[in-house]
Amino acid sequence: MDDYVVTVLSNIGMISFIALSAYLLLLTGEISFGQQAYFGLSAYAAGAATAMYQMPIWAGIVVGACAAGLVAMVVGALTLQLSGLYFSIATLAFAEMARLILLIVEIQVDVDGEMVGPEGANGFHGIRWMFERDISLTEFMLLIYGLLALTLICLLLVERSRLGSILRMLGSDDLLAEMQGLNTVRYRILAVGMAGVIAGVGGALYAHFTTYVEPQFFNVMLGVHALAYGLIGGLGTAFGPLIGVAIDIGFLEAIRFIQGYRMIVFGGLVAILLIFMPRGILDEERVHRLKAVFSRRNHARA
Amino acid sequence: MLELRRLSVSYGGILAVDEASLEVRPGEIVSIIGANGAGKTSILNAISGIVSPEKGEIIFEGESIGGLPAHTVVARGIVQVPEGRMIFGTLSVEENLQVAAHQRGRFILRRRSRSSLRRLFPALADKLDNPAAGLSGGEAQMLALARGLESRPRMLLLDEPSLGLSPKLAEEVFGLIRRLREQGITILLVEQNVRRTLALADRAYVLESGRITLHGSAAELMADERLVSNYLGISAPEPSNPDR
Repeated sequence: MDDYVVTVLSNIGMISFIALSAYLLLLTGEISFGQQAYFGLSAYAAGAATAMYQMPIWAGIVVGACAAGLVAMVVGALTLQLSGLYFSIATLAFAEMARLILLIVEIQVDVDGEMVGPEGANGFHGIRWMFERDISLTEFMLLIYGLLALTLICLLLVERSRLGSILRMLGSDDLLAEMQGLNTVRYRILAVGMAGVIAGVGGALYAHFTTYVEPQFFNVMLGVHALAYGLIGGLGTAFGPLIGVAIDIGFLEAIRFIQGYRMIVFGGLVAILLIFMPRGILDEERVHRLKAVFSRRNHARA
Repeated sequence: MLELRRLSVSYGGILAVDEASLEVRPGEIVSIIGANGAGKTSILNAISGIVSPEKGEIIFEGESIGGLPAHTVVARGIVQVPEGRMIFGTLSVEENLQVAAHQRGRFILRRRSRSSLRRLFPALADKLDNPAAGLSGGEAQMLALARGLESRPRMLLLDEPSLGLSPKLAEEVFGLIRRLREQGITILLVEQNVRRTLALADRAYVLESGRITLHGSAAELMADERLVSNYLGISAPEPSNPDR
């Protein structure tokens, strides 16, 4: 595979994390315009861990994901009373706040005679874990997809479990969920925390893939895309948002000649899908039907 | 078992329930009768913790539960089945039921509850994998009831369970309520179908504009002229032998 293909595939993989993060919150009925903040926060935290404090990459990913998850839970607790549009605006405001803070943060440490660390608007250079260890792009891509598969398996298990039903219940009627004896506050904080961790894993990988991060990358358009992926691909299963990412980055990026019009095509696609398939390509109904087909087949075999 | 002492509920300064007092004893079916907007649902919502009482006390098994969050009220054994067959449409029937199962935990208990589901709700047992949105009105009401039972309540608050159902399905729902009582579940029932409700209930309270104006045994209320003219007079004519 040439580097271009590997880069596109790696981007699909890394962006899938933030798509899954937004998807998890969409399940609970919340539209967050702020998942890019956790992606970015973790990119900085993970980058700091490996580049400034020489931790191994797994530790960097854990540090980044945990930091993102914790901040997400704090923000979640603060915005808990808000719902609908108010929640969306609060998440957007927080994400912009986080981005603006990253624009002024300057912490430099001396690593082998070179100053490394976040440098405000100039970004955070020198996250060179990959190059220092001579890890190829392809190898890193495998790491990305390994972690993505792990995340996907966890999400699919959650969806099959009672917790998955509860998250969907919060999404359809949280008062009714409360009447079932569910502590909706606790589950909501759990959901935003999980979504923060998932976005964080993606961000940590991203920092190490590009070796350089800047606050500008984590602007609101990233969060809007993350939401759109779930809405395109479908809210019936965790595979849905991945389809959304593949369509946008894989398909549209691949068709070179529409480069300049990509956002127009993407926006149009979102609009058309929202009209004809309001809950995406793989919505709950289609997933139910697919499951029925599969279980019938399994019965027939047995 | 449950006692309301001078309970008042208001929404933005407008009084919906005005110093209502009532009592439900273990094993009873007690009904609250009243016109639309009389405050029946507000009383149920106050008991289950959906709204906080403005004044007064709600005592359940000797403990004050007024103002507790709804999920902790469920944990104490009171479950409300809200009006309008509220189910989670995007989830399957099984997923709708699954959620409350944790109140008992154990797998074996769950198995047992599946067999009791088959007995009480045969129509649902065959549709566990179907999306709940596809259920008929009667099935949706049965699912709402079945889901309420999954938490093993000792007391059920039923809000207009027969609303919008055909007479035959309504009869099924009432038959089910009778069976639940036989299983030892205490029931507080809000209904518009006064004649049928009084045939089922042990005692009833009449609610008018948030105030309890009349209460007594079902038989006493059936004989009360005022109630008969106000509520039974306007209710739809019943078949000649409604109670069998």
